[in-house]
Amino acid sequence: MTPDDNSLEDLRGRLRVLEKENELLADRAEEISLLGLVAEKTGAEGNPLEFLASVLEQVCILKAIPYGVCLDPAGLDLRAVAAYHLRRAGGAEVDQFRLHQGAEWPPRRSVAMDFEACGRIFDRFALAGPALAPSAVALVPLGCSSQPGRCLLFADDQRSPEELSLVLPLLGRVADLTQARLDNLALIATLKRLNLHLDLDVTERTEELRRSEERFRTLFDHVPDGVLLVNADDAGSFGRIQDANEAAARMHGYSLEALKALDIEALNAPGEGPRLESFEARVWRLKAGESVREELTHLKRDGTTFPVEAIGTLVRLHGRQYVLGFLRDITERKLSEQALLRTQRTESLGVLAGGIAHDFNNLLTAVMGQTSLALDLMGTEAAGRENLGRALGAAEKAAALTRQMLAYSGRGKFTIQPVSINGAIRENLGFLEAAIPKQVRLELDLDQELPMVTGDPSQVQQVLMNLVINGVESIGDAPGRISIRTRFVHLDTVDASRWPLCGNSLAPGDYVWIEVVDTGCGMTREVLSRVFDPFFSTKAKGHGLGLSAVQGIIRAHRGGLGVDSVLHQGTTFRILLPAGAPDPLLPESATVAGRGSGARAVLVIDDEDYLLEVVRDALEAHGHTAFLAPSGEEGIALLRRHGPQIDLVLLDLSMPGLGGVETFRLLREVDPKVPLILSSGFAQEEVLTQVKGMDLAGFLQKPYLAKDLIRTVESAPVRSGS
Amino acid sequence: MVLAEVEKARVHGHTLAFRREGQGEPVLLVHGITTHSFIWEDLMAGLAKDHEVVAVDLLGCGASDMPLDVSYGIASQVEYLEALTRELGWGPFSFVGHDIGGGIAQRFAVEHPDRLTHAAVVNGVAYDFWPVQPIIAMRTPIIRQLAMATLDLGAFDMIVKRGVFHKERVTPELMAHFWQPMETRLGRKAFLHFAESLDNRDLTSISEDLRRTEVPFLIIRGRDDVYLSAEISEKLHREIPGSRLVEIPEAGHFIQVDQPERLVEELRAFLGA
Repeated sequence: MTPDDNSLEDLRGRLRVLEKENELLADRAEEISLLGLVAEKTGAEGNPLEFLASVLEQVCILKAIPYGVCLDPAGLDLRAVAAYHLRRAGGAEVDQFRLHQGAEWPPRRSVAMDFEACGRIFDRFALAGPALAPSAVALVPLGCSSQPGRCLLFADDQRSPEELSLVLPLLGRVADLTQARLDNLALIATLKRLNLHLDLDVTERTEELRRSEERFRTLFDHVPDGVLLVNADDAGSFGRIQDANEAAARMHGYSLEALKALDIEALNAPGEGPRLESFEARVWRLKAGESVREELTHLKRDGTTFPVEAIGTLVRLHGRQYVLGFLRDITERKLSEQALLRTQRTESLGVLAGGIAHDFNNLLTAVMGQTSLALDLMGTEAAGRENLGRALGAAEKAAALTRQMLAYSGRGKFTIQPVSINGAIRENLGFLEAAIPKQVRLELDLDQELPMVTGDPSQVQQVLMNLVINGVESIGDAPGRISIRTRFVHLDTVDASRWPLCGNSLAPGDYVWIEVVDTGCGMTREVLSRVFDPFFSTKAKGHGLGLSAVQGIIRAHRGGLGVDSVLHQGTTFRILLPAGAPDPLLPESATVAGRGSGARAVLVIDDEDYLLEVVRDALEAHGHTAFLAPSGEEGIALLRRHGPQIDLVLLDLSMPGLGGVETFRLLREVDPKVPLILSSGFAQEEVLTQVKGMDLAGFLQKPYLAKDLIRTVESAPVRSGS
Repeated sequence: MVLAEVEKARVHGHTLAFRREGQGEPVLLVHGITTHSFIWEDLMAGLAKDHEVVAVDLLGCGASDMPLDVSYGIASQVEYLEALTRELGWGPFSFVGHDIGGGIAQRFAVEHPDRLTHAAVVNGVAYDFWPVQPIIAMRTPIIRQLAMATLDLGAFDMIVKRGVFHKERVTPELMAHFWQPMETRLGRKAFLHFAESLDNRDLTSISEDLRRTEVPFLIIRGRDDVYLSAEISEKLHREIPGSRLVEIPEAGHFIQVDQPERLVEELRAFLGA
């Protein structure tokens, strides 16, 4: 061997050494890279199973091992929690491992073995996917304190156990890193779980608090009553308003912020009436759980006052004392109470007036009947005839007055028919203009599309006349204007407070609106409050029945009545009448009066003796026969006794004992066919409503003249079948 | 870089993804290992001016299926592409292959000569460029290097940068396209499976047939390709009758990144614009 050969061989040797070193260095680089990658994963991956899968993949790819798995013991079974199989797409759960009974698990240290040795540990070793024939298997215990049985298993199909064991130190270091990370993750998971519980707890409680606060605030803001929380410290009087709701602010005309800046005293109305001070005094005496209720007068921001019902109670919040006050605006309630009182008074006055008028009517019927009979009997030139004529005239005036009273009581003579309000105004224009002095202008503003109403045309006239005359008188000698306005209106809702004077509750619907406006002297509040009272008058010669008659008529027409008046400026009367045609109340037989002839035998039933007499005299004077019965019972008895002889019954509706309606019914039982005429001092409509459905031959309104009686009797239908 | 919308077709029980643009005589663009159809993006518009261009994701790559129980080798890819082009309703078409795609072009030309009008091999593999299958294993250095790259963007970046002449063109956006299949465990397995499936016998076995092919061949080489030597291109040019060899300067292995315009120019001249 030449020196050259030597040096060549030497160089070759050195090259071999360098190559070997190079390979070792490459291995080292690869190992460092692997550990770097694993370390990187340990910092980044938070899911322990995904972390294990990544570590297994990195080890398998970089160390060219086709299969790696992490096993968790469950009895003799080993669960594959994460796996990497180079030639399989799926995860770990498909591989099956089972230990032999008594096999040591996990191994105390890393170990590489051939597949035969492996068979002594595993009873079952089944990998899913493409067949892999392991040439060597490595077991690397992880030593996790969280999962002590956890162990990594790698299967190689190229290396021998000896070759694989060269990788064990690296696998051991990977296992150390992995174990540390897994234990950390387990710890973090536990902490997170605890934290989560804490967070959930706090979140839940915060949420509950928030909901509670929201609930409270919603309640607070939406109670229809005003709510005030008022400082009530030490000094014994209330102080600043600490909190309030929108209703309280609205009630007093303040914004919520403005209200909360006030002292409670700012809401206390000055002057007479219930005082806040007494309320305060009562609140201070309260024991726990008690409350005070009182009606107070409160002051709005605009200076007006209104009645409130206040309920107060003492509360303690955050160690301080407050008064919690609930306020209810009772303006409406007060108004309705007053309206109710007024209605009750009107009703009772109506009953009284109606009763008086009824009695008067009976007396006047007698007076007028007897007088007219006397006149009939007297010669045309007889002395005293003129006096009797005057007496009859006075009696008729008295009858007109009682009609006004009956109108007020709502029981006046009444016919039911369609009435054109515009027509009634135009027809009476002459009378109206005659009632108006020259310096007062009458203006009409009539809705041409006005529907008919149901009512009594003469009563409607009376209403218009009374209101116009009232206007004229309030204008006096000064120039002025009276306007009559009509409108067709449809009301979806009826504001009862606008129509307080009729006592009717108005249903939504179509109405005719009538307004009589004058530019007269107007009324004081006191006058206004009494203007419809019967016998109340500001005029020297007034009966005080005009406006009360208006009220009665409108009430009987089921309408609405209101009045607005400003002193020295004028007064507006508003009337609503339901639009529509009437229901026929009278049975047909009553309206088609048969015309009888000849003498009639009339059974007269009335509890007033003088009436029975006058009726008998009148009937007999005209050739008729009268059977007189002072009560219902006697009338029925007479009909039973004389049945076929009696052509006609004249029955008074208002009788003590067996009343008119009941008598009517029993008479019909005795003789279903005898014609029956009713008489009453009350309105025909009212009477007909009571006997609706029973057949009537006619109606005689008291007081009546003898000729009215005779005409009614003689025009009554002839008894059928006789 | 805005990629065309991905279309999909079912071929031999697996789904192949591709991007399509333009109208005219059909051209199939086939990528190599470490890339997928995105690599052609800068060429698509230019070629689509007068051709219907389809850039395919090979089985196991890009958005195509990644079954691990079938071979991704050259011979098998030829069958998938033959079926795909039928599925697309194509008659004879032009085949442009890069890297492994260039190898597939050669085998396609030999096996289905009547289906090709032109074949272009761009920095393509040929002959015995790759270790023989019986000795190939995960421990083979080239596979170890690729394996490392699947786990480490830094290593991958190095591989790409070595393959590009104009390094500044290796932008994060470009790297994101390269890296995209490596983001899933299955993508990484498919990539390694692709490397493992390669077998130089798929190409050495057709070297005799190549000498007789009548399909017109264009061989393009980036002069600065560090992965595939000039020898491969020169031998292809020598042995394929009538073939043309074009060497492009300032172009690395990923010549589509370095010289897209020039590449379009050469291809259009060859395919007949």
